[in-house]
Amino acid sequence: MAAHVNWLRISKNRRVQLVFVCVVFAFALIWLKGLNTGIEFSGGVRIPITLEKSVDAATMDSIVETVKLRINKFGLSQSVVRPVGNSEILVEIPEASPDAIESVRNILKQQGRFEALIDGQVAVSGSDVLSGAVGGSNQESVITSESGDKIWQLGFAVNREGGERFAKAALGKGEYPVYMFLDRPQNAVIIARKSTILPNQSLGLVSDGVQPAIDDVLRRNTDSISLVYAEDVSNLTISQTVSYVLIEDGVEKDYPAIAAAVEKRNATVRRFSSASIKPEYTSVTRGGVSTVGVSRWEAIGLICSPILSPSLADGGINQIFQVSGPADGATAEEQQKSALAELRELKSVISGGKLPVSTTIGSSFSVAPSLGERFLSYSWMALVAGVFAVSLLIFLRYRQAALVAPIVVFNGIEVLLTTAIIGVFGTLDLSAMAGIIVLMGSGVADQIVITEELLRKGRADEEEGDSHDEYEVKERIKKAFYVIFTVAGVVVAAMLPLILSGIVEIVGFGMSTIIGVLVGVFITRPAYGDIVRELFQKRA
Amino acid sequence: MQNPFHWKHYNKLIAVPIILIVLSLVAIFVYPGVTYGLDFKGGTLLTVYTASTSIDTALLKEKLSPFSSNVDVRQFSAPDGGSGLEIELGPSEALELASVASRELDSLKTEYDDASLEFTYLEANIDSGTVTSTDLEKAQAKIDALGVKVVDKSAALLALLGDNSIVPQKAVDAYALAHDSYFERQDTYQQKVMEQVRSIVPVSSYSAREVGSTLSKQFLGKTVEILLVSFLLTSIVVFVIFRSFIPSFAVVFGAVADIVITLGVMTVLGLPLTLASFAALLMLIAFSFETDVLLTVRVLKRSDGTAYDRAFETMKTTVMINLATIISFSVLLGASMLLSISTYYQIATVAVIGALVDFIATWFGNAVLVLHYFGKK
Repeated sequence: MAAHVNWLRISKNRRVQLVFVCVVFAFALIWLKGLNTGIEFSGGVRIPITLEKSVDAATMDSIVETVKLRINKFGLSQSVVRPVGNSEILVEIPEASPDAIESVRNILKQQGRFEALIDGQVAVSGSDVLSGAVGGSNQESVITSESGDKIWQLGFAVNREGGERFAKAALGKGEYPVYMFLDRPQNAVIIARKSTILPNQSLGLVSDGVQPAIDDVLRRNTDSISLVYAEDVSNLTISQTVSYVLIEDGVEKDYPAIAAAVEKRNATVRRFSSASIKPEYTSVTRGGVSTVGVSRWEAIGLICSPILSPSLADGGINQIFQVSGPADGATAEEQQKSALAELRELKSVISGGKLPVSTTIGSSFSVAPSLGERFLSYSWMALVAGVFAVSLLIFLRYRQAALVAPIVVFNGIEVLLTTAIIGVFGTLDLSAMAGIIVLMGSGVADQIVITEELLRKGRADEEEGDSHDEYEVKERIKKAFYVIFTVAGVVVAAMLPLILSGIVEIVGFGMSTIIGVLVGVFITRPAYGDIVRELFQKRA
Repeated sequence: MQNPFHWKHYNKLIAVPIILIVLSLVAIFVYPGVTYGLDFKGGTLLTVYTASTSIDTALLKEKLSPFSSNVDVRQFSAPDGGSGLEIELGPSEALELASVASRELDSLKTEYDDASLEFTYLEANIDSGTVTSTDLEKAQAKIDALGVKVVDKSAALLALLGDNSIVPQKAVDAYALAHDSYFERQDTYQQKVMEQVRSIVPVSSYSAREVGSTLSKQFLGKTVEILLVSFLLTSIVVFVIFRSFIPSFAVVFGAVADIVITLGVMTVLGLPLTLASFAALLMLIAFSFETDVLLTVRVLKRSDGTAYDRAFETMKTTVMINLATIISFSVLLGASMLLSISTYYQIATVAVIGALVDFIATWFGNAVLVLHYFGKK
């Protein structure tokens, strides 16, 4: 191998420049956005939910929303719910405690509990609602009112008992709010800062109505939810009957007395960020007087609070009800969209969070965070060890450092680019990582094909006493690429069904293999070919 | 080294892969049969890490025997000095039965709800004159009949679960009770297993993987589908590239031989087939094509030297490729054994076996076919 390799010519090569740009870009992406690691590496739990049949995009959206809605009430707002293909959903909860994991499995397996309360009385309970009679052809619509605003309407039916229960609870309560809950926690206490719970003065709400409105939402004849303002606590004892403690993040740290009380009472603790434990307020007019109402409070499962029509408050028994409300948004288009979203949400709430198709809980997988970190660092080590071992083999075979170096460098670049693409735009999980390690082997194989082709040519020439002419070298490389492109086509064809299968355990493997091969064929191997061509031409 | 292709009987070598394929097919389908891993047979796999090194695995196995008739406990040493346990439990028979009953109960409940709904609408329309009281009575009778069925089925499910609660006489309540009881049992299963494990081993961390039997059947069906589609697509790609039958067939033959023989070797060695090892088998299609395509292209589309010389030259290249594969996967294999990351272990074993088998498939199978074809041409 000649010492005078024309590095300047190499550096002016477009393909080499492309590789360089890609490497810089990959580093920038990783540095700016970071790598998304899967549950196997970051710790947590992954629960796949398989739908009985494929669904369209709108249905998939509503299913994902329903699952999110139910999960977020458990203070697990960092959890990720995402669709995989058109018949599977993945729920991933990072660094979750075993309690949280159990609750998620529970809410996914069990139907939710719908409940409508009027003045602390149960007006409709989930078991009263006739499943299959929530919404439907002419029972759900978005209409445009006289003023031009959009209004959504949803009808649902209850059984005979439900009708009686409602008539009793609603008697004489015209214009009262009807609080609609999904999975309202029983025997619960909320502990939060006053400043978080009470509305911001700038909203211009009638402030003296706020506390009564909050109390009204929390009241239920058999078990009211109690609310403790952290600022008011000097000495707290949580009653033995409390089974859920809903607490604002940071409160325990700032108020040791509260932390001690929570610690002492061994209840299920759900932690919420300040934003997610806050109620949403709205202005309501009751009997001509403007006051404040709570419209939504996700932490306790309150989804909406429509006003009871006085016509339903006369004690007569109804079995078919209609709920309606105004849509948010400035433009008609926005309103239409928000009305449809609300309709979908309420529909799933009244059906008890029931999903439109039946589902099976897939194979759940949980990893402790410390274990995940270990997996990840060992994976990197295995990768480095692999590169080292393969380099050694190549060195032993060709005995030329100048040949080994580009192979190792390009192999490393291929791994880097693939890792960046998968880790930044997708998720780097165990199977994707395995695919990347595999790539090391297949990348080297291609480079061996190119190198051997040229070496073979070299030997043949020496026997014949020919010199290396540029045309010949070019031909050789072209022939090597014919093999490489063919193989790449085959790899993509072989692995594509794996990606389309939607089996989350192996999708990553297929993804990283295909992306790696494409990166190799279109970016790194052409540049590698040009570099070795340069090396070989200078050899004679 | 002599060029083995100058041997006049070299074409008889094709018997080697054919015999191996036949033997593998016997091993896969007749005896001993593929060992299915967790993904395909269902069950629970717990990987437990502990600081303690002396673990009474026999006692642990005994303690876990009530959960499933099929309990397997394997111990490995963790790299940080402690040790790890892989505990595999077969699907719980009691839960399997309950799951079938629960599904039947669900569909009965849906029928019951539909009947109630119909009744409500009839009742709401009774004043309009289109609905007669006989219609209402009929609808009521249907509800009653279905209600009895729901209560009976709920009672049956509760009995299966060994739940002695009194079954309510109202269909809705009976259903709710049975349904909750079933899910609670399912949820506490893993917790109860871990309780037993903790009573013997001080657990520092653990990971768990659970595959239901319905899901495992789905996996099996899907993988067969993937394999077929994969072969179809790759064959199409190969035929499009070579545009003649025998070379394409030779290449596909090499890949089929590689996969079948590798699966055969796995079967004989008792290595389990899991989703990860299945993915690795698919990857073998790619590896095996690389060597096969290289050989075919060089023999058929070049003119330097004789076809035998070119084949021999290519053999040296593919030995390098196979060696590189074997080495990189041996590193992965070593790492996975050391760290007990089963996904890596499964992929690496398949790849190493596959690379070895690929040599036989390419040089005793594909090469013979391609050279024979070249000679005829």
